[in-house]
Amino acid sequence: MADRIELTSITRSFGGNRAVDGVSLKAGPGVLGLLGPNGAGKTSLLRMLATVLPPSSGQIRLLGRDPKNTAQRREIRRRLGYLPQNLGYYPAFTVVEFVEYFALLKEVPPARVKQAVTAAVERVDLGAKAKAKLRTLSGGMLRRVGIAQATVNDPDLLLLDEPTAGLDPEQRVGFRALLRDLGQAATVVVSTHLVEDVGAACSQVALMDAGQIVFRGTPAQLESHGEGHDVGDAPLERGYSAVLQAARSAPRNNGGVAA
Amino acid sequence: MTAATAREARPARDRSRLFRLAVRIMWVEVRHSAFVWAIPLLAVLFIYDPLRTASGYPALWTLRASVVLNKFWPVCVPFATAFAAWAGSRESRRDVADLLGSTARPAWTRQLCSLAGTLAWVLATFAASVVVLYVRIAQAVTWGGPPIWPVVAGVVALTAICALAFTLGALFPGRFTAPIVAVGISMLVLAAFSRAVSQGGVSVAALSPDGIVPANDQGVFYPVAPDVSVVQVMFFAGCALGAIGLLGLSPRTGGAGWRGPLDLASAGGARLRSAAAAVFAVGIALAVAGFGLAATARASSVTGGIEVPALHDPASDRPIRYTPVCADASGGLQVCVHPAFRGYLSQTVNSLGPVIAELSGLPGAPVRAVEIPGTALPSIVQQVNGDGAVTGSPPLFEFTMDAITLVPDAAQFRDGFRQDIVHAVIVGPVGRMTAGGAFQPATGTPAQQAVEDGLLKAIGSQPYPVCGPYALQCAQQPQVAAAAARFAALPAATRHAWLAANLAALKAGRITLAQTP
Repeated sequence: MADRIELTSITRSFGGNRAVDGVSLKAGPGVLGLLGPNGAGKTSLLRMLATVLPPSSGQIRLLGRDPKNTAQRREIRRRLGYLPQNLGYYPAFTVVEFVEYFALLKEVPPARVKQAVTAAVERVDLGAKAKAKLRTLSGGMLRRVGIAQATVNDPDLLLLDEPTAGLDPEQRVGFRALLRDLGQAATVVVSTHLVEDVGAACSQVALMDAGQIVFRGTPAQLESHGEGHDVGDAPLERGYSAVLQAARSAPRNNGGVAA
Repeated sequence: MTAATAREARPARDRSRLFRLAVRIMWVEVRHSAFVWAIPLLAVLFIYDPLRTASGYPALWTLRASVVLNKFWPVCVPFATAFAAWAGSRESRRDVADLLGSTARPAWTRQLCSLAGTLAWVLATFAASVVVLYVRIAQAVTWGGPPIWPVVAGVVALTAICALAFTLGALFPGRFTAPIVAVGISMLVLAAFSRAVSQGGVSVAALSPDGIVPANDQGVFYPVAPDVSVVQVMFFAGCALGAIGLLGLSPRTGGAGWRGPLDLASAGGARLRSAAAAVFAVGIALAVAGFGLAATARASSVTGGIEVPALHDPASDRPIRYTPVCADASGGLQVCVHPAFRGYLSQTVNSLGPVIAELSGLPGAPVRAVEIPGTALPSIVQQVNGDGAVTGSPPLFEFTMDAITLVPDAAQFRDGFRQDIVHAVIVGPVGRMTAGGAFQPATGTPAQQAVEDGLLKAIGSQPYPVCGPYALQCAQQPQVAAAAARFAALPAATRHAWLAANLAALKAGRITLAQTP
């Protein structure tokens, strides 16, 4: 199957700060974990993939389309699910109304909206809270509402920025299963600090540092980098630390990948 | 065609599906509009001022319906602007810009749905209040039908200020945007227009929905020309379109704007931006055209309304056909009024009866009293905002119902008419215009003043503490008041006999105060 994400030498600067520095990346169906320390450029990269932030330079193709073209961008957005790092919401909306609102904005066919909303809400186990106002929900529940709105249109490309923040362990386990399920058909990009999420749910992992992808491979490959490294409690954490340490000590190649 | 391209092509063709989606988004916005919270307060304010004010006015459609724009529209403005600005700033306040920006629906159309959610409640509240008011008016009036143009103008004006406030809220989002926009627009619209209206001009003032209280007989003898309402609709529709177009052009809502092209952030693209630019241009053109037309507005000497020459239909100057309602007063006087004033006929008859009984048979005493349009009164009477004049031969008392305009005070209504007639018979016209254009009242000689006041006192009217109507600067002398009291104390037959014998000489000024009985 063709790559659904094709990034070629993408950069994005905010003033003098280059948040994303010459990233090239391709991804097909499956779950891609995007790891990296704070300020690595993960959120900026995800916002560009979500077509809400234009790149300063480079080429983006998503779902085989060019987001610079208005009609193609609109079609990408119909087939896109996005959960931003900071989920804003309308407190007076109920769970169902909020998800329905996004289903309508994503131009889900009118006849399918109700069914799609119900399925999305059930998928995140919020059926019992369907009629609850968002202002009454906990942080973890709001995060699940965010996931529901992101998946309501059965997206071909799903972008999740810190999706497990605020979820309790039981919910995180359930969410990882959901990610694996969604990754069967869609391309899912999950940005996270939590390496155990990546190990449990992702088939591929990309590690960013200072705006560049410094590692691209499977979680097992990342783990293997940590052999003999003494920083980190789990094998994946050790691999993560080892790759970062190596990347920071080596001279940078523009958008280079360590693996 | 592959499955992917078919999926892509289908929505572009299926405009009705997109429209249905937009309607459903609007319905979501309607359900969540915060304006609902303002409706009870607006209802209380509506009952407290506009409804009570209308009930206090004479029962005439044009007059009572004027509270829609003069009283209720200004009440709606701060609420409508505050909630529209609040809705406009919502996306940024709630930090959902990224989330919404990643959806397929163009930002402009999404924002318009949000605006429609607030606007629907604003207009529904306005319309419901108008319906309540009009039902109340319909129960009270005796003639005519509800004026529609002021309602149309009010609806368009509310739409315009909502669109403007929403756009300002979207462009400058913040916690304090709503109150600042509400106060700013209210001050701008209400204060600026009120100032223009109070200065008496008909140019900018013609654009103001909040205008002057119309004369009693406005829309009674002649139709109310829709010229001013059409200009207002043009101007405010232009403002609304300009604001909506600006919303589509702004970078915050996805267009290419002041901070450079954000093409990628825009779901709408060049076509929607072109549409927004066209809407903006049409809006500005309409507003400028409305403003320009308003500058040509002028008061009509025939209908008493305001006409805009470029829009004016001369057919609207034709008088409305009607059959007067008449009754006989004591003294053989027939009193006729327009059927719109049927409810005031007996009051008019009772006012005129006693004075005609005193004056009947005397030269110059009217044999008939007829209500006419205010614009048909002699110009000298119009100059001094008079209510009536005795004219013609046989003498006819022509009057307007302006005396009942704002203060339905029976005594004022009665005494005004009586003094008009007595002064006309004893002294003559109320005055004259000098070469310099100043009004010079005909105060009469001391003897004339004494007889006039004596007559009025005799029939139970309180003479004005001046020398005849509209002579505000005249200080009455004590001896005149004493002579008036003496004359009033005479038996009616004696007064009438004396007047029959001496009226010609009295009117000519040949009788002195000492010669009065």
